[in-house]
Amino acid sequence: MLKRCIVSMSLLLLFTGAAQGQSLEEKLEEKLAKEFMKKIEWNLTLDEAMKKSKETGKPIFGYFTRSYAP
Amino acid sequence: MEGGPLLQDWWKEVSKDFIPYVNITSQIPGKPDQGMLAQKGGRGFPYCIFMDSTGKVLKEARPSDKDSFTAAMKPITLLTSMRALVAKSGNGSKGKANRQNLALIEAVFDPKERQFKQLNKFAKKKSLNEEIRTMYLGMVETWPIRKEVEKANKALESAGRDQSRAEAINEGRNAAMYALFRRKMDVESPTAPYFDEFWMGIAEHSVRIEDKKNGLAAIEKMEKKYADNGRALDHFGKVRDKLEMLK
Repeated sequence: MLKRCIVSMSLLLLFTGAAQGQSLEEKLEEKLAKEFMKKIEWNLTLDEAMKKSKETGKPIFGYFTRSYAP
Repeated sequence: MEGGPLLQDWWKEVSKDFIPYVNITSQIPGKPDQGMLAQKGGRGFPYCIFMDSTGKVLKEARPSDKDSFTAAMKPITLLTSMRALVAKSGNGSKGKANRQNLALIEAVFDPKERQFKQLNKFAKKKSLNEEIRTMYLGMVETWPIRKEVEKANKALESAGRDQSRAEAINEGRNAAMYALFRRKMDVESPTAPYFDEFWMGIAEHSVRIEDKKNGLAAIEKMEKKYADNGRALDHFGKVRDKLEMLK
């Protein structure tokens, strides 16, 4: 019983680890697909935002977030 | 935030007045703008700031609700629109007034004490923008508070993880807030800059020097401002309990 438990746990850890290892790009994609990203037209680089700010005279609002952690 | 304010209709409406920029730290090598959080003064996520067209940070502002966010945005809009006006205006009297308006609003964001004498003269001119004048005078009025808070923040940065030094710095700042309060200084509006530092400093120093009356008055200001924030109210409750126990 104990042996089976250890094997299951190891498999679970291995699976989770693999999922975490491969997921940085996926997590970023997930973030970019979130509802808040669709609500308004976000600029994804500061250069792009600065260019538009110069053209329009409007200030830049910067929202800093992360995709690598939940 | 992403599941709340950033999905609201008011957010979409106000976003027409600025250029939205999202910076996603992904830890993926080669992605643009990685590591920018620290460069712009952020210490954790989420971090929300207004910047000018050169990327210079103007102000931190979290979009929690429409009223407080538009109030925070007001001086930013005035600054950017005045910069645009000055760039277009000539040397005539209108151009001069625009430049003086700009000098006042620039000082709200980046005050330099040595300029106050000259700027105070501008602020007396009736031809200048009323909103800018009010903001400038508000800044000058709370300048001693701001100076103490910024001095303490700088000291806290250099203290790093030295807990006892950090505590001493916080106590020093609280004592300074209390001293300014005793010199009849006031921060009336809950949306005014340094409202929290001022009243919380007074409340905490009051516990230390056993001034029940002024401490309770100060903590009440904070409780009113954060009436909808349970976590903040829990913290204020602990300070209130200490004050209530005083004679």
